[in-house]
Amino acid sequence: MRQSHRLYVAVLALLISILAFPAPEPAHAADGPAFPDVLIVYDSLGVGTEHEGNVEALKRLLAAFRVRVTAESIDSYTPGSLKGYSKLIEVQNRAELMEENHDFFADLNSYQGDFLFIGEKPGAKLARTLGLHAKTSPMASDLSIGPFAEKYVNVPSLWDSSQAGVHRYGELKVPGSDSTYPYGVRKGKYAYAPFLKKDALSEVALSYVLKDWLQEERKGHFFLVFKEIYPFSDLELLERMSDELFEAGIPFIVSVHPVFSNTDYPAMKRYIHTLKYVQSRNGTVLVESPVVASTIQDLDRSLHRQMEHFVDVLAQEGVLPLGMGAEMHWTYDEHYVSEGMPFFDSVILYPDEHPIYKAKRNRSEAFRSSLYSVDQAYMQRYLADGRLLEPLPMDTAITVDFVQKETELDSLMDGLKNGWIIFDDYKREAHRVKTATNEIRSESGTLTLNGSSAGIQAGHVETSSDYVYKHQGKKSFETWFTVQNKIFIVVIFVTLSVFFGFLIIGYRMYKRKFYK
Amino acid sequence: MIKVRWIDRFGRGIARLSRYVSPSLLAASLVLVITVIALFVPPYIGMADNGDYFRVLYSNGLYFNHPDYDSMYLGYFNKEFGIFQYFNENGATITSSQSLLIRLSVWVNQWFNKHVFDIRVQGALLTLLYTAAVYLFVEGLTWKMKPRYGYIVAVLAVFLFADTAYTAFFNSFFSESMVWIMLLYMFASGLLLFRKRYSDYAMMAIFFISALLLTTSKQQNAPVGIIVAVMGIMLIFVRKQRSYRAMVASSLAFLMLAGIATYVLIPKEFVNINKYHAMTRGVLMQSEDPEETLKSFGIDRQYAVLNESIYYEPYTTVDVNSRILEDHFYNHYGFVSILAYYITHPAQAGKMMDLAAKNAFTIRPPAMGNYEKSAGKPFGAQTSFFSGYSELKKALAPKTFGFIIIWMLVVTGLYTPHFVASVKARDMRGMVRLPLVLMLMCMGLSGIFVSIIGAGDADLSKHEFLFTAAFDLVTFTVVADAICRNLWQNRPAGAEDES
Repeated sequence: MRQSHRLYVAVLALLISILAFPAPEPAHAADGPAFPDVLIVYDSLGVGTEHEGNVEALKRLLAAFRVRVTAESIDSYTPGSLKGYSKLIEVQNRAELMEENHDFFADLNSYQGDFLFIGEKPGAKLARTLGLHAKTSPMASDLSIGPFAEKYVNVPSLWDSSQAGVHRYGELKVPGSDSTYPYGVRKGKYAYAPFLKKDALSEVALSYVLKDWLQEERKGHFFLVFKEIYPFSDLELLERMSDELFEAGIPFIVSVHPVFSNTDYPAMKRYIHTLKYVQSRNGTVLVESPVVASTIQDLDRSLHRQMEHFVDVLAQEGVLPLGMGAEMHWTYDEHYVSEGMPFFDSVILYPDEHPIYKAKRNRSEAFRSSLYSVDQAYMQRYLADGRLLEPLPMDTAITVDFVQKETELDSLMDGLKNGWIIFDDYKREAHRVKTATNEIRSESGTLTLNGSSAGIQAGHVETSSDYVYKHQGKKSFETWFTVQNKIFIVVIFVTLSVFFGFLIIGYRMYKRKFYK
Repeated sequence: MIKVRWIDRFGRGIARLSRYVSPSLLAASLVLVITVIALFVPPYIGMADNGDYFRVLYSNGLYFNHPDYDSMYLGYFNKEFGIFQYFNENGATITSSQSLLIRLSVWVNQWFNKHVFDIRVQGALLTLLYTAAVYLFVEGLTWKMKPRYGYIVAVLAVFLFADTAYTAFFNSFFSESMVWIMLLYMFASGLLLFRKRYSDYAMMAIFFISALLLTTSKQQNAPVGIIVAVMGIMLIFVRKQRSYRAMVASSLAFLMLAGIATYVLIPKEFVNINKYHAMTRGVLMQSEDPEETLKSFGIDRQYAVLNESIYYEPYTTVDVNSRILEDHFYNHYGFVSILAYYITHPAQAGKMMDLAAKNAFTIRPPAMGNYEKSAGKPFGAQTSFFSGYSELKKALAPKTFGFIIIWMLVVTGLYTPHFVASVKARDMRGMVRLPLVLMLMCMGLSGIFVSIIGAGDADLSKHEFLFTAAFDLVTFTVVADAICRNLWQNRPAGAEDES
């Protein structure tokens, strides 16, 4: 009786300990720094308007400042939830104002934390704090900030502030007039920007405001990232490109597409050998997120197992990936975060192209290193004089699709060698990739695998095509069946001959009997 | 003594019955009743969407209006869809004869409801068409046969034609319903022409229209037009009038053109899925050296990593519609080059054929559920109502390609004496039956070949529907002819009429 009582107590204690100590968090969250939380509240996503995509752009910018973002519509706002945040961004995309008696506005009135408003009509309280006053009605203006400029931006209204202590960001200039107005205004924990458009200069302009508003002190860097690299890309061209970049002293990153099956094939070996070669030429390997199919067939596949397998296959061959490249919506999906990303503490987030969610959530996952990405065309479009000497406020990846032809490679190399952008080496910063069997780290340019320094020297390797694709099953009594087959063939042949013999004899007899 | 009396009474009963209900009318009525019970009495039976509806639906002015549609994929049958009330930006194109059917159904539906399309309207139209087809087919088999044999055939016909594995397709947007009904019309009209039951002109019209709708019902059926055009040549000589011959000959030529047009007009998106499978789940899968095989197509050997991969993988290395695959993979092969590859590699082709035969006797695709969510059945549940024949076939048919060859040889052997006798008697009408049976068998075979060449071993049970349908019709005809003592005979049709 006493024994069973002890057993109950032990089971109870075990249950309590399980409930009290939750399961370990993914690698990037468990031992990384605590990430600040930011709440975005928007009145509309502006679908079908010029504002469409600006909330996504804002989320991507914030990710680059290593903050954890929660984004929700004003309509789904839960009263009181503002209390849990010390940083709030309100995005106003609708032209008409929301009802003042909305739960959100009631909470906003008593809110004391940091506040950034993006939209045409800032609230009276914010306008008063920042000393904002509208200057002119909507018109096209030229926007410039740092080395960037964009002409004829459709601005809803121009605002300025003459209050002391206000920081101005960027410059909006009405063509044909000498007056200039700031793009963004900040004073202490309050900030304002009149508009934000996806894939336009205002996206980068806002990053200058955000850096100060978030009190981010780290300096940004540029990284050169090559995308669209598959096992069946032109691997020779990839090696040649690595050689040229190495000789030009340009460090670079290749974001490579993972392979989940046939990883023992010679084709896969060639892929790995090429990546190893790239790594030896001061290239860094990142694993790109797999392509998510839009089909509805429910095949039992574990993303966790597949990603882990690919990282392990690379590590086993001496290719040491340091992070992951994914579209931004991956960080807002419970399934992708827990199954596809727990191995990495460093990511590059690309703009969403065709988001397919598995378990969507409104809170993002933050990473210790998170690169904001822009493509080369964006840079060329907005760089005022083609020169970019100062880095952006955040770590930025300039992405280039890997070329398919030699001629394309030549012009790409010319552009990079003659460009003004100084790219940093990704390996200089601390990154960690951890699977059940391998731990890859980088620190100050050195790579380690499972605690020991990994040599990255490699040369070109020719992989033989000799491989047994189809394993012959073990055969029993093979000789016996061969002999038996031969006997049967002879027996059948003899039987057929006898049969035809009888047939002919029978036919002749029949004819003799009836056709005399 | 008692037994003799019983047989006598049974014979008189049959004679009385035959005065009011012919075997064909009996079969058609029973099929109608059973199908109506299956499709239009709750719980309604239909087919769940496997993801293919999207293309058909939107190009025909319909859309998914169910808020929880995503959760029903593969699992549950959904009977209601929205009708576009404004401009359809997806472009309303008629890509197949199935579109005609859907348009007609939507038009009829709009008499009752302008906003919501109930798929049972299409089900009702198809059921009516089907009943008439069953009537004609059984009539073609039992006309002028002894009533007692005719009724046995009629009862067996109900067993086959009322099977819900076939009729559930009526409540779906799959083109299999069209394939099945048109194949039945085509074969029935051919048999009735052979039996000289109705007006030859009327039968030829039915034959031609059904063959045309069958050919254009789905891209996979493009070879059907060509097969009918070649093997239907005998039909030209059934009558001597020049006008008739010219009409039949031009119809056959038109069918051939329709076959070619159907092949050429395949939508691109559709091609990519099947092209991908044709290589990864076909040519490469059975190859001893995939790299060498790829080289023979002029494709980079590195694509060997895609060996055995499928389009439906949730996480993949490359987007199957990406530019890199378009430029360096799909552009290097097509239907003809894969066909040539299989011809030059018969061992591989043989393996694929055996793989195909494993799924060639399944009528109801195993992946899709038959009930509505509201019926309370589990996800993906399939009906067992009146499914005896399809279940029996799936369980008992020997699933090897060798069996298919033997089946073809036996059937051809059974009908050859009659054909030879007709040739000797110069009876052109009597010569029609064997080519007609061969035509169906070739169509079935083409279904298998096209599946393998066009999409490897992916979705075989659905792609091989044409074979399973042709197999059933031909086998049923053999059984019916055997019952009616109309099989192993060397008398031409004319002599038959006289007896």
